[in-house]
Parts: sequence; C-alpha cells; structure tokens
Amino acid sequence: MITGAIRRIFPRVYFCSFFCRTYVCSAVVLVVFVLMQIGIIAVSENAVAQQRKLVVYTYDSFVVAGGLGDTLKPMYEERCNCEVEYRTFADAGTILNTLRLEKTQSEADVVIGLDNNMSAQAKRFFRPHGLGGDYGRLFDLPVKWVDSVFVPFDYGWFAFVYNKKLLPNAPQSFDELLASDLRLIIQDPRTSSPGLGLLLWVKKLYGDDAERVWKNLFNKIVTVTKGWSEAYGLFLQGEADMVLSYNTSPAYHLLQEKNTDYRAAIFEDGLFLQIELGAIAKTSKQPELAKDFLRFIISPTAQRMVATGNWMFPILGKSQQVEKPQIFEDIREKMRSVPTLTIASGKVLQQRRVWIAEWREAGF
Amino acid sequence: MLTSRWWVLGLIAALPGMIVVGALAVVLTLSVFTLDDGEVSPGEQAIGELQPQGAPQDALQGTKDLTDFSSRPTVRWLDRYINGYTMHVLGFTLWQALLSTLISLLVGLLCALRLLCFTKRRRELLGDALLLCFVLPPLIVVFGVIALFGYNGIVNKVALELFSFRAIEGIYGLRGIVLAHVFFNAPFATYLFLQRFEELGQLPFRLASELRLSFTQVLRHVILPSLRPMIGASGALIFSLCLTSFTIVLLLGGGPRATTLPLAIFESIRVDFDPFRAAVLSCIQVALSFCALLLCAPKRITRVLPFARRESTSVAAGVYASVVELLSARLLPAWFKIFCDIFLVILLLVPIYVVVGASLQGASILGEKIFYHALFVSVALGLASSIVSCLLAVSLLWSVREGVFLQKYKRTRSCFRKFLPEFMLAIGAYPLLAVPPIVVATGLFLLLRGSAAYQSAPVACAFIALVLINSLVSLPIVLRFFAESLYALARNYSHLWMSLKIRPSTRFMAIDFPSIRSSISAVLACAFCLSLSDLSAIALFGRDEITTLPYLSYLLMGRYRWHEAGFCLATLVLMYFLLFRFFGRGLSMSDRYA
Repeated sequence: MITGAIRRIFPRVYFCSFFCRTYVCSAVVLVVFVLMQIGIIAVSENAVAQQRKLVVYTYDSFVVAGGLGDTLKPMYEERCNCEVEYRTFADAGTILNTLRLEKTQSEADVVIGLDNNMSAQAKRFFRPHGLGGDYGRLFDLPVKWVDSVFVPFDYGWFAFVYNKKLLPNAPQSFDELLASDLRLIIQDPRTSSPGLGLLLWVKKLYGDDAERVWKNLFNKIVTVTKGWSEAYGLFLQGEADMVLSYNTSPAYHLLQEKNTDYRAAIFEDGLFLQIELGAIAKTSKQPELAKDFLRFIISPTAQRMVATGNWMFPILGKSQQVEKPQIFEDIREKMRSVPTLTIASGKVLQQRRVWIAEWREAGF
Repeated sequence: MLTSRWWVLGLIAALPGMIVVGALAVVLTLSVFTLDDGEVSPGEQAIGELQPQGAPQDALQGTKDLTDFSSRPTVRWLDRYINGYTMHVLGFTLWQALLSTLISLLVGLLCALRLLCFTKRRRELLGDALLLCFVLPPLIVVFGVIALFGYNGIVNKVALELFSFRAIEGIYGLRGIVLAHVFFNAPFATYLFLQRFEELGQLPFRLASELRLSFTQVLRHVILPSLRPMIGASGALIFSLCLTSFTIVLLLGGGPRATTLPLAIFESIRVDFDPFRAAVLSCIQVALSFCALLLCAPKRITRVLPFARRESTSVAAGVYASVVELLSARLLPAWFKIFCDIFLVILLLVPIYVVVGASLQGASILGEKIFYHALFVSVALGLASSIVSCLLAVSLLWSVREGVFLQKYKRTRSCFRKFLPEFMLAIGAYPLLAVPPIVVATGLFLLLRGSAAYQSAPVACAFIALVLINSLVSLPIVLRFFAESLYALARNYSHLWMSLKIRPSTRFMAIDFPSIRSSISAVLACAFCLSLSDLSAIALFGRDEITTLPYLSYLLMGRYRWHEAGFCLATLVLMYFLLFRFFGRGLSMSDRYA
C-alpha cells in the first residue's frame, strides 16, 4: 500500500522494495526522534510553575550528582514558597564569562560559587547584599570577612594530597617540597581555581623569587591538567606522589571510603585560602528574594550540610550549633597552628596576567 | 541540466562552513562592539578602575603577548597576535600534529592489512571494538593510555615484576601526546584503509597472487598505489584532528611547554575574555588545516587506477573469502602478521580496560534519576546530531562530486575550476573541524541570547544549538566515510551517466543512494558517538536539563565519585559497542556488496 502511495507521488523515480523499506524505517526513526524532542522540551518546560522563580547560577558539581545544591533546593523551596532553578556551568570562570556575555540580559538572581581570588573581577555584576553590617559577626572564618557585595558560604585551603602508605616522609613545608624530588601533578592556573591558588600561594610565599621557584617546581611536575578532576584521577591511578587539591580531600576518603591512607600536607609556612562566595546579581528583578536566599545559605540549617555536601568547611562554627564530622574539626584545629595565606583580590586582578606569563615562562 | 547550475550546489556545499564562519564573525563583531563600552577587556578596564595612574603599564609589562595598547595601532595589533609566544605555540602544534599523523597512518595501515586476514565474523567484531577508540571522549582514551603506559601502568608493572625496573619513566610531553593521538586516530585510519581495499575488490589481489608477487612487490604495486588517492585526504583530516585536539594535549602535555593553538584559544576566551583574539587564533587554525588539505589533496580525485575497477556485485560477493585466503596464505609473511598483531592488541586494550576497570560499586548510580535522564538526553542528542550531520554530509559531498565529475566530463584545464570542488569541500567542512566548539558555541550563544525564542523556550533553543554544534563537529569525519563510495561511483560511471543523460535527481535516488544506503546506519552510529564527546559546548549552554552521559561522568569525577563515573563510562562504551554491532554492518566489507 505504501509502495503504491509513493509510486503515485513520485511516478518517475526508480523503485525497488528496499527503497520503500528505507522510507518506512526513516519515517519511524523520525517520529521517535520528534517524540523524544517533544518529551525533552515538555519535561523541562513543564517544570516552569506559576510560582515565583529564583534563578541561581552555579558551577555544576555544586548541583548535580548529589551536590550541596541538590540538598538545599527542597529545603529552601519549602521555606520561601517559590521555585529555585539552578543554571549550571562548568566552573566559576565560565559563570563569570557568561555574566560578561549576557550583560544586562542576565536572568540570574543569585550567583553561587565565585571565590575570593576572583571576586574583584566579578564585582561589577553584583549589587550590595544589604544583609546589615554585622552579618559576618558569627562567622568562624580563619580571616576577617567584610564585604558589601559577596557573602561567603564555605571555605577550604589548597593543599598537596598524598598517600601515606606510598609516601611516609611527606614534606612539612614548601621549602622541603622544593628540596625533594617528588612527582607532582598540578592544575593549570589559566583554567582552574586550585591552579590559580597555587600560583598565588607561591607568589605570596616567595614574592619576586617566584619565577625561580616555579622553574624548580616544573622539574618535579609530571603534568599540568585542565581541571581538578583530571589531576585527582591521575593521582589516584598512581601517576604522582602528590597532587594539588584541598586539605579537606582526606575527609572524603575517610568518611566515604573508610580509607585513612590519604593525607593533606599541612605546610608550616602556611596554606592558601579559598572562600566560596554568593552574591546578588545586578540584573535581578527580585532582590529581596535573592537576599533571603543568601540569608538562608549562611543560616545554621544550610551550613550543617556543607561539610559532607560540598567537602568544604562551613562558615559557621560550634557556637551556632553547626556540627561537622570529627575529621573536619581535626583539620581545622591543625590549621590554627599554621598561617593562612591570602592575597587581596584587587591585587590578583591587577597582576594575574603578569604572574601567569611568568609561570608560563618558567615552564618553557 | 546541471551544466549551468552546479555552482548553486557548490553554495549548498559551503553552507555549514558558512554557519561556522558566521559564528566566528559574530564573535568578532560583537567583541568589537562591546569593546566600545569597555565590557570586553575587564582585565584592563578594572585595572584602570583600581589604580588610575600608570597602573595598566605596570601590569602589562613583562607579558609578551600584551604590549603597549595606546600607540601605533597596526604594530599593536600585530604584536598582540603574532609574537614569540604565538610562534612557539604554532611550531609545537604543527610538529606534534605532523608526527601524530604520520605514525597514525602507519599503524592504521598495518592494522588494516592484518584485519584483512581475519574471517568475516572476527574481523567485524575487532573492527567495531577498534572504532570505539576513535569515538570515545578523549578523556577516557587518555585515562586508558595512562593505565597502560603510565608510571604505575600495566606495562611498568609487568616490567617491574619481570626485570625489576620501570620500562617507561613517564609518558608526559611530546611522546605522550603522540601516543594518545595514535590511539585516537589509528583506528580511524584503519577503517578508511579497509574501505579503500574493499573498493579495490579482489582483482588486484588475485592478479598479484597469480603473478606470484612477493610481499614487498604487493606493497609496492598494489597496496600503496591503491591508497595514494585517499591517503592525502585522510592524512589531512587526521592532521586537522591532531591540530585541534585539546583534552589530550592538556592532560599529557606536561606543562606550559606543550601549549598548542586550541589551548591558546581556550585561554583567550577563558582567562583574558578576549573573544576577538580567540577568533583571530581560530582563523589561523582554520587556515592551517585548510592548507594541509590543499597540500595533501590528490590532484585528480577522478583518477582511475589501473587495478581499481569496481566489481559487479555478483562477482564481488565472494571477494572476502578470496582476499583472506590470498593475503593470509601467500602475501603476508608470518613475522609481519605478528608485528601487526601487537599493534592491534595494544589499540584494543583501551576500550577493554574502560569496561573491565569499571567497578561494580559504581552501579549505585543506577538508582539515581540523573543517570536515566543523562542516558535519555544522550540518545536524543546523539540521534538528532547524527541525522543532521549525515544529511549535511551527503548533500555536501554529492554537490561537490557533481562539480568534479562535470568538470572532468568537460575536460576543463583551468586551474581555478580544477581546484574549486575540492576547495568548496574544504570550505564546507574544515572550518567546522578547526574552529573549536567553544568559539562556535560562544558565537551562537551571543546570537541566541537576545532572541525572543531563547527567552520563551531556553531549553529547546539550547538543545537545538547543541545539536547544530555537535553535528558540525562530526561532519568532517562523516564526510570521509561517505566520500569513497560516492567518488568511486563517479570515477567509474560518469561517462555512462552522461551519455545516458540520467537526470541528477534520478541518479541520486536510483544509483547514489542505494550505494551509500548500507553504510548510512553505520555512519549514523559513528556520528552518534562522536557528537557526545565534546564537553566544552555543553558547558557553555549550562542547563542541568541537558546532561549527557560523558558529561555526567565528568561531573561525578568532580565530586570524588570515581566508581560511579567509571560505571557511566563503561555503560557508554557498551552502548557504543552495541550500536556498532547492530548498526555498524555497513562499514564492513562483505555486506556492502551483498
């Protein structure tokens, strides 16, 4: 029947049986395909309820795959009687670039996940949070935090992680690391925030000597990866003795895998700090709701989820009834005896290119 | 008839290229516009804000790629884009690409010859497994290569056990890059060579055996001459793939020494937020792969080889068996087979490792909704992009071929017209390969951003944009798969067609389509897999509704969930393998003639 129909429509075309079969097959495939598209669109657009909607820009491991954002979403939705919609991006750098591309058309209400090393760059996209002058009074941060735009929601230190079994005598300071002949894996400061962290760390410790230090480091560095995941994956495969990560990484191995072999080297001369921040976008049409969301993520309810949700330190301490697993307390306690290193983000913004060029030169 | 209209077809052929060039142009113009209100170079801008006096100069001193911006615009422009750093990057990029291409072609040739000696069933199985390497996301291939050749890899472990020393001290740097590229591209070359052998049919091999030619003579008189018309084109394609590869270089490069052009482009978008610079560098990259194509392209596509007459279908049905007998019995010496076997085994180890290495602990991801969502989106996205890319590829190739064969028919000698069809194919296909997806994505993103459609249905728009980008990414490769069949037909029958005055539409329906019909499903399967491997575009359109399986596994890695990530990847590998088993028939030799 179909053959006849097609013959009638295209009388002059040469036909054989397979041709019609092909037509039928492709028609079926096309129908399935169109249904799938409709399905996808329906699934995603149906979710748009009549409620108020809060759009949150964040990096994707915050939300997907059991991240902190996943836990916080239903908690907040219950509280605000609104809907939280996450827009996820590869990392903080991509969020920043998206804000730059979107300019005034941005749909973002809140942005979560920029850090203290890039905050000066991003400042012009945000409005003051207006949480009151003493919102930071209760924070349990290693440094004093006063900022009219950015609100911290968790923090951690960059550190070199190693396997105690394979490396019994880990270096105790950056100088020892430089004197050793260990195999290291780091991330690229141009593409990843731990990489940038190490760049600043070296700059803070060695100042103008940084280029020489980097030349030395590059003799030990096995490879430089694009992001944290690749570097850590290589390290777990045994490609290097130490990997640049966070000092909270061992907590994951302990709590999730019951594995006590992984340690972070707490250097005597200090570790470099990263504070993850949230802020209200300038383009937000509902700044009050956005402000409420920020207030929520620094509330004890939300902060209790931070340690095991994002594998970082919550910004509230015991005084606010925010309990964290023992290992976090231990690391925090250890960190009180070593300096916490930071560089003002204005300075980072100013010098970043020079420092990156210097880093690149050293590696040539 | 076609005579006066074939340039219209040429325009169609150039269409996808124009889309990409358009996206590039959008990036260029919009960045120029935005430069006016100081949005684009926030680096410089913000430095000015913080320290109004003299700060920009201080900040920029010592950087080689940023010189004085205020004076002498032409010098500034030149210095900014063509300087020592760019030159070093260019040199390294070209060198590693050249090396990788040559080795890939060689290994591909060896594997193709060896595969010819297997029985049909085994050959198909091995071929499918081999092609997996090529379509898997590069990240997986790199991890596989490291598991084999890394510091604690299998090779080193075996060497430590047996001889108590490490065979390979480190694979980072140039050799690592070349090694991974060979893993990636040699299977592709193998497939192209196999396809070429099947176009040859059995006659040359039978002749060779009847003449009692030695192995070297077969190589010299049968194999190499028969490969000559396509070795340039596939070499150029592999060269471009190596030129633009990003993940591999970044992971195995071992430091800033190994900066390549794609990385510099990525850097200028991500670090400096300078889309203009990115677009300029992309143009350089396009020009490079373009030159590679024109240099390597066979001067006469329509050349008819002395041996290469396409068999009539009934005779050729028996091709396979006889080729096997001839090759395995007389033509290939045993040592050569063993030599080739080593390469085959090594290439096959990577996909096997991914599946075997996956831990069952990761199966817990099966209980999560996101996994099924990602699976569903992967299938939808892959299906859509592969269909689009096959449609584009067939229309492009067909129109270009019309140009070629018409030209041959008219015996044109003009240099311009001789190069035009190949040139159009290059315009149509190569920008897609050479412009990094991140640049195209940025361009499309800027375009879509303001449109009403994006406001009302953002997910649908993002999905369509992703389909477009991914289909463009896989287009050059899909093209290569179809090219041989379509060109072979024209080579052999163009005079007949012209003398019979067959209308182009009839010719397509009755001759061309049936000839590529059997390989369509296989190419679709291949394009399906290829379109899922790019992670940079999907990151830019950030919507958690659109999460593909490779992307999900990358996210899981970011949350320390290695087992689950491994499980996702193993699922992916198995899915690809099944796809090839069920739909990959067309790429195998015997069925194409049945």
